Amino acid sequence: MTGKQKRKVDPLAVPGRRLPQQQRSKETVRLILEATIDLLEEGGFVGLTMQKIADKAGINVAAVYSYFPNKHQVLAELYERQFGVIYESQMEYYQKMSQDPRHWVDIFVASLADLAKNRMSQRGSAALRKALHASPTLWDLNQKTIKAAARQFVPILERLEPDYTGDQSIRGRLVVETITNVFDLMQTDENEDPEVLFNELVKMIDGYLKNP
Amino acid sequence: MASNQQRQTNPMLVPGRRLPKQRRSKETVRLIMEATIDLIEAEGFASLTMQKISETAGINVAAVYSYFPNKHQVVSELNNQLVQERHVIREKDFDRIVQQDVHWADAYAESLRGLARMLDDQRGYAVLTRAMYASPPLWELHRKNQELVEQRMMHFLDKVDPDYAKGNKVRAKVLASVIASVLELSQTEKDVDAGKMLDELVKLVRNYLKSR
Repeated sequence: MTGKQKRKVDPLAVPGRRLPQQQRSKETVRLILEATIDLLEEGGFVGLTMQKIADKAGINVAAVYSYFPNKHQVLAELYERQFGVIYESQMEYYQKMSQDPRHWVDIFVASLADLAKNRMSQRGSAALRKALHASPTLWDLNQKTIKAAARQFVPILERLEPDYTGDQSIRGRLVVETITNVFDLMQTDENEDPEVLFNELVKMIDGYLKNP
Repeated sequence: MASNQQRQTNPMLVPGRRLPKQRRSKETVRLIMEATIDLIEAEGFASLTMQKISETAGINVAAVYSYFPNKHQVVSELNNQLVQERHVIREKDFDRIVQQDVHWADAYAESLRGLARMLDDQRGYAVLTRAMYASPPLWELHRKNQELVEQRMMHFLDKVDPDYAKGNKVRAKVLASVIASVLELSQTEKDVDAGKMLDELVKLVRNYLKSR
Protein backbone atom coordinates (compact mmCIF):
# COMPACT_ATOMS: atom_id res chain seq x y z
CA MET A 1 0.00 0.00 0.00
CA THR A 2 1.34 3.45 -0.90
CA GLY A 3 2.37 5.76 1.92
CA LYS A 4 0.28 8.50 0.39
CA GLN A 5 -2.92 6.73 1.28
CA LYS A 6 -4.79 8.43 4.08
CA ARG A 7 -6.03 6.36 6.96
CA LYS A 8 -9.70 7.14 7.06
CA VAL A 9 -11.76 7.52 10.20
CA ASP A 10 -14.23 4.73 10.80
CA PRO A 11 -17.61 6.43 10.21
CA LEU A 12 -19.31 4.09 12.64
CA ALA A 13 -16.95 5.17 15.40
CA VAL A 14 -17.75 8.86 15.02
CA PRO A 15 -19.67 9.80 18.15
CA GLY A 16 -23.01 11.51 17.92
CA ARG A 17 -25.77 9.01 17.45
CA ARG A 18 -28.34 10.10 20.02
CA LEU A 19 -31.59 8.27 20.03
CA PRO A 20 -34.55 10.17 21.39
CA GLN A 21 -36.88 9.43 24.27
CA GLN A 22 -39.62 11.89 23.38
CA GLN A 23 -42.56 10.90 21.25
CA ARG A 24 -42.12 13.68 18.69
CA SER A 25 -38.41 13.02 18.31
CA LYS A 26 -39.05 9.31 17.91
CA GLU A 27 -41.38 10.17 15.09
CA THR A 28 -38.59 12.22 13.45
CA VAL A 29 -36.19 9.28 13.67
CA ARG A 30 -38.84 7.02 12.20
CA LEU A 31 -39.25 9.43 9.26
CA ILE A 32 -35.48 9.47 8.74
CA LEU A 33 -35.28 5.69 8.70
CA GLU A 34 -38.27 5.32 6.37
CA ALA A 35 -36.84 7.89 3.96
CA THR A 36 -33.51 6.08 4.00
CA ILE A 37 -35.16 2.80 3.06
CA ASP A 38 -36.94 4.49 0.15
CA LEU A 39 -33.69 6.02 -1.11
CA LEU A 40 -31.79 2.75 -0.79
CA GLU A 41 -34.46 1.00 -2.81
CA GLU A 42 -34.29 3.68 -5.50
CA GLY A 43 -30.58 4.18 -5.91
CA GLY A 44 -28.47 2.13 -3.54
CA PHE A 45 -25.98 3.32 -0.99
CA VAL A 46 -23.59 5.23 -3.24
CA GLY A 47 -25.95 8.07 -4.13
CA LEU A 48 -27.30 8.38 -0.60
CA THR A 49 -26.62 11.66 1.20
CA MET A 50 -27.84 13.20 4.44
CA GLN A 51 -29.39 16.01 2.36
CA LYS A 52 -31.40 13.54 0.27
CA ILE A 53 -32.58 11.79 3.42
CA ALA A 54 -33.76 15.13 4.83
CA ASP A 55 -35.54 16.08 1.60
CA LYS A 56 -37.26 12.73 1.33
CA ALA A 57 -38.32 12.78 4.97
CA GLY A 58 -39.56 16.37 4.61
CA ILE A 59 -37.45 17.63 7.49
CA ASN A 60 -34.50 19.95 7.88
CA VAL A 61 -31.07 18.43 7.29
CA ALA A 62 -29.91 19.85 10.63
CA ALA A 63 -32.54 17.70 12.31
CA VAL A 64 -31.09 14.62 10.61
CA TYR A 65 -27.61 15.54 11.79
CA SER A 66 -28.87 16.06 15.32
CA TYR A 67 -29.60 12.33 15.53
CA PHE A 68 -27.00 10.83 13.18
CA PRO A 69 -23.49 12.13 12.43
CA ASN A 70 -23.38 10.39 9.02
CA LYS A 71 -25.25 8.09 6.66
CA HIS A 72 -23.32 5.03 7.84
CA GLN A 73 -24.83 5.39 11.26
CA VAL A 74 -28.31 5.79 9.87
CA LEU A 75 -27.81 2.42 8.20
CA ALA A 76 -26.31 0.91 11.32
CA GLU A 77 -29.40 1.94 13.25
CA LEU A 78 -31.70 0.46 10.60
CA TYR A 79 -29.68 -2.70 10.52
CA GLU A 80 -29.67 -3.15 14.27
CA ARG A 81 -33.40 -2.62 14.43
CA GLN A 82 -34.19 -5.07 11.65
CA PHE A 83 -31.79 -7.87 12.33
CA GLY A 84 -31.38 -7.58 16.06
CA VAL A 85 -34.94 -8.75 16.57
CA ILE A 86 -34.58 -11.81 14.39
CA TYR A 87 -32.08 -13.77 16.39
CA GLU A 88 -33.92 -13.27 19.64
CA SER A 89 -36.67 -15.57 18.45
CA GLN A 90 -34.02 -18.22 17.84
CA MET A 91 -33.35 -18.58 21.54
CA GLU A 92 -36.72 -20.22 22.05
CA TYR A 93 -35.89 -22.88 19.52
CA TYR A 94 -32.48 -23.46 21.11
CA GLN A 95 -34.22 -24.25 24.37
CA LYS A 96 -36.51 -26.73 22.66
CA MET A 97 -33.48 -28.37 21.05
CA SER A 98 -31.84 -28.87 24.43
CA GLN A 99 -35.03 -30.38 25.80
CA ASP A 100 -35.41 -32.81 22.94
CA PRO A 101 -31.84 -33.62 21.86
CA ARG A 102 -32.79 -36.56 19.66
CA HIS A 103 -34.71 -34.30 17.32
CA TRP A 104 -32.58 -31.21 17.58
CA VAL A 105 -31.88 -30.96 13.85
CA ASP A 106 -35.57 -31.16 12.99
CA ILE A 107 -36.35 -28.44 15.51
CA PHE A 108 -33.58 -26.23 14.20
CA VAL A 109 -34.72 -26.71 10.62
CA ALA A 110 -38.28 -25.86 11.67
CA SER A 111 -37.01 -22.57 13.12
CA LEU A 112 -35.87 -21.50 9.68
CA ALA A 113 -39.44 -20.93 8.55
CA ASP A 114 -39.94 -18.36 11.32
CA LEU A 115 -36.62 -16.72 10.55
CA ALA A 116 -37.54 -16.41 6.88
CA LYS A 117 -40.97 -15.00 7.65
CA ASN A 118 -39.43 -12.44 9.95
CA ARG A 119 -36.89 -11.32 7.41
CA MET A 120 -39.25 -11.14 4.43
CA SER A 121 -41.80 -9.07 6.31
CA GLN A 122 -39.37 -6.27 7.09
CA ARG A 123 -39.70 -3.40 4.68
CA GLY A 124 -36.49 -2.52 2.89
CA SER A 125 -34.52 -5.44 4.25
CA ALA A 126 -33.41 -6.51 0.76
CA ALA A 127 -32.12 -3.04 -0.15
CA LEU A 128 -30.49 -2.78 3.24
CA ARG A 129 -28.74 -6.12 2.80
CA LYS A 130 -27.36 -4.94 -0.53
CA ALA A 131 -26.17 -1.69 1.00
CA LEU A 132 -24.14 -3.56 3.57
CA HIS A 133 -21.75 -4.59 0.85
CA ALA A 134 -21.24 -1.01 -0.25
CA SER A 135 -18.57 -0.07 2.23
CA PRO A 136 -16.05 -2.08 4.20
CA THR A 137 -17.38 -0.55 7.40
CA LEU A 138 -20.93 -1.70 6.87
CA TRP A 139 -19.73 -5.11 5.78
CA ASP A 140 -17.89 -5.47 9.05
CA LEU A 141 -21.13 -4.68 10.83
CA ASN A 142 -22.83 -7.48 8.90
CA GLN A 143 -20.07 -9.94 9.73
CA LYS A 144 -20.24 -8.90 13.36
CA THR A 145 -23.92 -9.78 13.41
CA ILE A 146 -23.33 -13.13 11.72
CA LYS A 147 -20.58 -13.83 14.22
CA ALA A 148 -22.90 -12.94 17.10
CA ALA A 149 -25.57 -15.28 15.76
CA ALA A 150 -22.99 -18.05 15.40
CA ARG A 151 -21.81 -17.43 18.97
CA GLN A 152 -25.33 -18.19 20.16
CA PHE A 153 -25.52 -21.34 18.12
CA VAL A 154 -22.09 -22.91 18.69
CA PRO A 155 -22.48 -23.74 22.43
CA ILE A 156 -25.71 -25.54 21.55
CA LEU A 157 -23.88 -27.60 18.93
CA GLU A 158 -21.15 -28.40 21.43
CA ARG A 159 -23.62 -29.56 24.03
CA LEU A 160 -25.69 -31.64 21.63
CA GLU A 161 -22.82 -33.23 19.74
CA PRO A 162 -19.70 -33.20 21.91
CA ASP A 163 -18.00 -35.82 19.73
CA TYR A 164 -18.14 -33.91 16.46
CA THR A 165 -14.80 -34.41 14.73
CA GLY A 166 -14.72 -31.12 12.83
CA ASP A 167 -14.55 -27.60 14.20
CA GLN A 168 -17.86 -26.69 15.83
CA SER A 169 -17.34 -22.95 15.74
CA ILE A 170 -16.68 -23.14 12.00
CA ARG A 171 -19.69 -25.40 11.61
CA GLY A 172 -21.93 -22.89 13.37
CA ARG A 173 -20.57 -20.03 11.32
CA LEU A 174 -21.11 -21.93 8.08
CA VAL A 175 -24.72 -22.65 8.99
CA VAL A 176 -25.47 -19.00 9.80
CA GLU A 177 -23.67 -17.77 6.70
CA THR A 178 -25.53 -20.25 4.48
CA ILE A 179 -28.91 -19.28 5.90
CA THR A 180 -28.17 -15.57 5.54
CA ASN A 181 -27.02 -16.08 1.98
CA VAL A 182 -30.03 -18.05 0.79
CA PHE A 183 -32.35 -15.55 2.49
CA ASP A 184 -30.61 -12.82 0.49
CA LEU A 185 -31.19 -14.87 -2.62
CA MET A 186 -34.85 -15.31 -1.78
CA GLN A 187 -35.23 -11.54 -1.50
CA THR A 188 -33.24 -10.50 -4.53
CA ASP A 189 -33.72 -13.19 -7.15
CA GLU A 190 -36.55 -12.31 -9.49
CA ASN A 191 -36.63 -15.54 -11.43
CA GLU A 192 -36.99 -18.07 -8.67
CA ASP A 193 -39.87 -18.70 -6.32
CA PRO A 194 -38.63 -17.90 -2.78
CA GLU A 195 -40.39 -20.97 -1.47
CA VAL A 196 -38.52 -23.27 -3.85
CA LEU A 197 -35.24 -21.67 -2.78
CA PHE A 198 -36.23 -22.05 0.84
CA ASN A 199 -36.88 -25.77 0.40
CA GLU A 200 -33.41 -26.22 -1.02
CA LEU A 201 -31.97 -24.37 1.97
CA VAL A 202 -33.80 -26.70 4.32
CA LYS A 203 -32.45 -29.72 2.47
CA MET A 204 -28.96 -28.28 2.63
CA ILE A 205 -28.96 -27.53 6.36
CA ASP A 206 -30.76 -30.75 7.25
CA GLY A 207 -28.35 -32.93 5.26
CA TYR A 208 -25.32 -31.14 6.63
CA LEU A 209 -26.30 -31.30 10.30
CA LYS A 210 -27.50 -34.90 10.14
CA ASN A 211 -24.36 -36.24 8.49
CA PRO A 212 -21.46 -35.18 10.65
CA MET B 1 -40.25 7.76 -6.79
CA ALA B 2 -39.88 11.53 -6.45
CA SER B 3 -40.55 13.40 -9.68
CA ASN B 4 -37.51 15.63 -9.33
CA GLN B 5 -35.23 12.61 -9.33
CA GLN B 6 -32.98 12.72 -12.35
CA ARG B 7 -32.95 9.71 -14.58
CA GLN B 8 -29.31 8.73 -14.48
CA THR B 9 -27.43 7.29 -17.43
CA ASN B 10 -26.19 3.80 -16.91
CA PRO B 11 -22.42 4.23 -16.53
CA MET B 12 -21.85 0.77 -17.99
CA LEU B 13 -23.31 1.86 -21.30
CA VAL B 14 -21.24 5.00 -21.81
CA PRO B 15 -19.09 4.26 -24.87
CA GLY B 16 -15.38 4.89 -24.95
CA ARG B 17 -13.51 1.82 -23.79
CA ARG B 18 -10.69 0.94 -26.16
CA LEU B 19 -8.63 -1.93 -24.97
CA PRO B 20 -5.05 -1.82 -26.15
CA LYS B 21 -3.08 -4.20 -28.33
CA GLN B 22 0.36 -2.74 -27.74
CA ARG B 23 2.52 -4.07 -24.98
CA ARG B 24 3.15 -0.67 -23.37
CA SER B 25 -0.55 0.14 -23.33
CA LYS B 26 -1.35 -3.25 -21.88
CA GLU B 27 1.06 -2.44 -19.10
CA THR B 28 -0.83 0.81 -18.48
CA VAL B 29 -4.13 -1.05 -18.20
CA ARG B 30 -2.50 -3.52 -15.83
CA LEU B 31 -1.33 -0.63 -13.64
CA ILE B 32 -4.86 0.80 -13.67
CA MET B 33 -6.27 -2.57 -12.56
CA GLU B 34 -3.74 -2.97 -9.77
CA ALA B 35 -4.37 0.56 -8.48
CA THR B 36 -8.12 -0.03 -8.57
CA ILE B 37 -7.79 -3.18 -6.48
CA ASP B 38 -5.63 -1.34 -3.93
CA LEU B 39 -8.10 1.52 -3.66
CA ILE B 40 -11.23 -0.61 -3.33
CA GLU B 41 -9.46 -2.71 -0.74
CA ALA B 42 -8.58 0.38 1.30
CA GLU B 43 -11.69 2.53 0.91
CA GLY B 44 -14.43 0.62 -0.85
CA PHE B 45 -16.02 1.34 -4.19
CA ALA B 46 -18.00 4.39 -3.12
CA SER B 47 -15.00 6.65 -2.69
CA LEU B 48 -13.14 5.36 -5.73
CA THR B 49 -12.46 8.07 -8.33
CA MET B 50 -10.64 8.16 -11.66
CA GLN B 51 -8.28 10.76 -10.16
CA LYS B 52 -7.34 8.46 -7.29
CA ILE B 53 -6.80 5.59 -9.70
CA SER B 54 -4.42 7.67 -11.76
CA GLU B 55 -2.51 8.87 -8.68
CA THR B 56 -2.14 5.40 -7.20
CA ALA B 57 -1.11 3.96 -10.57
CA GLY B 58 1.36 6.80 -11.06
CA ILE B 59 -0.02 7.73 -14.47
CA ASN B 60 -1.79 10.73 -15.91
CA VAL B 61 -5.56 10.86 -15.41
CA ALA B 62 -5.99 11.53 -19.14
CA ALA B 63 -4.35 8.18 -19.81
CA VAL B 64 -6.86 6.47 -17.56
CA TYR B 65 -9.73 8.17 -19.39
CA SER B 66 -8.30 7.15 -22.73
CA TYR B 67 -9.06 3.55 -21.85
CA PHE B 68 -12.08 3.86 -19.57
CA PRO B 69 -14.85 6.49 -19.55
CA ASN B 70 -15.61 5.95 -15.85
CA LYS B 71 -14.77 3.92 -12.78
CA HIS B 72 -17.63 1.50 -13.34
CA GLN B 73 -16.08 0.33 -16.54
CA VAL B 74 -12.66 -0.05 -14.94
CA VAL B 75 -14.24 -2.39 -12.42
CA SER B 76 -16.24 -4.12 -15.13
CA GLU B 77 -13.08 -4.88 -17.12
CA LEU B 78 -11.31 -6.13 -14.02
CA ASN B 79 -14.25 -8.40 -13.33
CA ASN B 80 -14.33 -9.79 -16.87
CA GLN B 81 -10.68 -10.71 -16.71
CA LEU B 82 -11.08 -12.61 -13.46
CA VAL B 83 -14.32 -14.32 -14.48
CA GLN B 84 -12.91 -15.48 -17.80
CA GLU B 85 -9.85 -16.94 -16.15
CA ARG B 86 -11.97 -18.90 -13.68
CA HIS B 87 -14.41 -20.07 -16.33
CA VAL B 88 -11.74 -21.79 -18.40
CA ILE B 89 -10.35 -23.64 -15.39
CA ARG B 90 -13.73 -24.72 -14.00
CA GLU B 91 -14.84 -26.10 -17.38
CA LYS B 92 -11.76 -28.31 -17.36
CA ASP B 93 -12.47 -29.37 -13.76
CA PHE B 94 -15.98 -30.45 -14.71
CA ASP B 95 -14.79 -32.42 -17.72
CA ARG B 96 -12.40 -34.27 -15.46
CA ILE B 97 -15.07 -35.02 -12.83
CA VAL B 98 -17.44 -36.51 -15.40
CA GLN B 99 -14.78 -38.99 -16.45
CA GLN B 100 -13.78 -40.06 -12.93
CA ASP B 101 -14.81 -43.32 -11.23
CA VAL B 102 -15.69 -41.82 -7.83
CA HIS B 103 -19.19 -40.50 -7.13
CA TRP B 104 -19.62 -37.19 -8.94
CA ALA B 105 -20.92 -35.50 -5.78
CA ASP B 106 -17.74 -36.42 -3.90
CA ALA B 107 -15.57 -35.37 -6.80
CA TYR B 108 -17.40 -32.08 -7.21
CA ALA B 109 -17.24 -31.26 -3.49
CA GLU B 110 -13.53 -32.01 -3.44
CA SER B 111 -12.96 -29.82 -6.49
CA LEU B 112 -13.96 -26.84 -4.33
CA ARG B 113 -10.52 -27.05 -2.74
CA GLY B 114 -8.95 -26.27 -6.09
CA LEU B 115 -11.43 -23.47 -6.65
CA ALA B 116 -10.58 -21.95 -3.27
CA ARG B 117 -6.88 -22.03 -4.13
CA MET B 118 -7.55 -20.35 -7.44
CA LEU B 119 -9.57 -17.57 -5.79
CA ASP B 120 -6.76 -17.10 -3.30
CA ASP B 121 -4.37 -16.59 -6.17
CA GLN B 122 -6.64 -14.17 -8.00
CA ARG B 123 -5.70 -10.83 -6.59
CA GLY B 124 -8.71 -8.59 -6.31
CA TYR B 125 -11.33 -11.34 -6.30
CA ALA B 126 -12.51 -10.76 -2.74
CA VAL B 127 -12.57 -6.95 -2.80
CA LEU B 128 -14.17 -6.92 -6.20
CA THR B 129 -16.95 -9.23 -5.15
CA ARG B 130 -17.71 -6.90 -2.30
CA ALA B 131 -17.65 -3.83 -4.52
CA MET B 132 -20.22 -5.41 -6.82
CA TYR B 133 -22.92 -4.76 -4.28
CA ALA B 134 -22.12 -1.06 -4.11
CA SER B 135 -24.30 0.28 -6.88
CA PRO B 136 -27.08 -0.99 -9.12
CA PRO B 137 -24.92 -1.13 -12.29
CA LEU B 138 -22.26 -3.23 -10.56
CA TRP B 139 -24.91 -5.37 -8.97
CA GLU B 140 -26.00 -6.23 -12.51
CA LEU B 141 -22.46 -7.33 -13.21
CA HIS B 142 -22.45 -9.51 -10.14
CA ARG B 143 -25.71 -11.08 -11.21
CA LYS B 144 -24.34 -11.84 -14.65
CA ASN B 145 -21.30 -13.48 -13.09
CA GLN B 146 -23.52 -15.62 -10.94
CA GLU B 147 -25.68 -16.50 -13.93
CA LEU B 148 -22.63 -17.75 -15.78
CA VAL B 149 -21.58 -19.85 -12.80
CA GLU B 150 -25.13 -21.19 -12.41
CA GLN B 151 -25.36 -22.16 -16.05
CA ARG B 152 -22.03 -23.91 -15.95
CA MET B 153 -23.13 -25.73 -12.82
CA MET B 154 -26.51 -26.60 -14.29
CA HIS B 155 -25.02 -28.14 -17.43
CA PHE B 156 -22.73 -30.16 -15.25
CA LEU B 157 -25.61 -31.39 -13.06
CA ASP B 158 -27.73 -32.22 -16.10
CA LYS B 159 -24.92 -34.43 -17.29
CA VAL B 160 -24.25 -36.28 -14.03
CA ASP B 161 -27.70 -36.25 -12.39
CA PRO B 162 -30.42 -35.44 -14.93
CA ASP B 163 -33.35 -36.77 -12.87
CA TYR B 164 -33.29 -34.40 -9.90
CA ALA B 165 -36.95 -33.75 -9.18
CA LYS B 166 -36.77 -30.07 -8.21
CA GLY B 167 -34.79 -29.28 -11.30
CA ASN B 168 -31.12 -28.59 -11.57
CA LYS B 169 -31.63 -24.90 -12.15
CA VAL B 170 -32.59 -24.07 -8.58
CA ARG B 171 -29.98 -26.44 -7.20
CA ALA B 172 -27.28 -24.77 -9.29
CA LYS B 173 -28.46 -21.34 -8.17
CA VAL B 174 -28.39 -22.10 -4.46
CA LEU B 175 -25.06 -23.89 -4.70
CA ALA B 176 -23.40 -21.13 -6.70
CA SER B 177 -24.57 -18.51 -4.25
CA VAL B 178 -23.64 -20.34 -1.06
CA ILE B 179 -20.24 -21.44 -2.34
CA ALA B 180 -19.38 -17.93 -3.50
CA SER B 181 -20.34 -16.37 -0.18
CA VAL B 182 -18.51 -18.92 1.95
CA LEU B 183 -15.33 -18.76 -0.10
CA GLU B 184 -15.49 -14.97 0.00
CA LEU B 185 -15.94 -15.11 3.76
CA SER B 186 -12.88 -17.34 4.17
CA GLN B 187 -10.85 -14.83 2.24
CA THR B 188 -11.96 -11.65 3.91
CA GLU B 189 -12.52 -12.63 7.54
CA LYS B 190 -9.26 -12.99 9.39
CA ASP B 191 -10.77 -14.87 12.33
CA VAL B 192 -12.03 -17.68 10.08
CA ASP B 193 -9.67 -20.60 9.55
CA ALA B 194 -10.02 -20.95 5.77
CA GLY B 195 -8.85 -24.57 5.71
CA LYS B 196 -11.35 -25.71 8.31
CA MET B 197 -14.13 -23.71 6.70
CA LEU B 198 -13.35 -25.42 3.43
CA ASP B 199 -13.57 -28.85 5.11
CA GLU B 200 -17.03 -28.00 6.38
CA LEU B 201 -18.15 -26.54 3.06
CA VAL B 202 -17.07 -29.72 1.28
CA LYS B 203 -19.23 -31.73 3.70
CA LEU B 204 -22.21 -29.44 3.23
CA VAL B 205 -22.04 -29.56 -0.55
CA ARG B 206 -21.45 -33.30 -0.73
CA ASN B 207 -24.46 -34.08 1.46
CA TYR B 208 -26.67 -31.62 -0.34
CA LEU B 209 -25.85 -33.06 -3.75
CA LYS B 210 -26.58 -36.57 -2.54
CA SER B 211 -29.91 -35.76 -0.88
CA ARG B 212 -33.07 -36.07 -2.96
